[in-house]
Amino acid sequence: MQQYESELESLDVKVVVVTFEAGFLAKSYAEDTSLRWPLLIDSTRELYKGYDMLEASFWDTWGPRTWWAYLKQFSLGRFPRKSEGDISQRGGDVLIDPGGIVRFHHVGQGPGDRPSPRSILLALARERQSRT
Amino acid sequence: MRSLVGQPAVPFTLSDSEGKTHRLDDYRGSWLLMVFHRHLG
Repeated sequence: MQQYESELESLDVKVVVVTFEAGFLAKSYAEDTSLRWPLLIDSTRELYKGYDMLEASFWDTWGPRTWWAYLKQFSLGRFPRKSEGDISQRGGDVLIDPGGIVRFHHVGQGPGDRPSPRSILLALARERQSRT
Repeated sequence: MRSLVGQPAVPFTLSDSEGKTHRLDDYRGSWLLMVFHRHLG
């Protein structure tokens, strides 16, 4: 997603990254990945729950889609680090308009289910166009 | 899984990894993309 930073900036989109993992892990992740966006810590997972991002099933967490997603990462030379946290927690993406209304909401079934940044930008473009 | 498209955003008050507090209201007037991590791997 960070490679789309300038595009998001030019569209006047603010970005925040949310994690449930706190403390040293969050800080070291922000440093190691040169994260330029705020890394918000939702240790109680209330915000995750608010967006229906609950626990993934065993199959969603460890099924073939997950292995395929990891293989793609490996082929790009990216090696995810071992998590000490809850690997069954679902993630996702939420786009909120300037009036505070949700315009895009995706809950990942598992690690392999993530919308491309391009599809989020397209959803944004559609929403903006519908207002003009 | 229910879609929340068209619904009001869920309010939040959260600290970031630098200790700064962020609220949903801080972002009112701008588009906001929230990327929820699974885990920090």
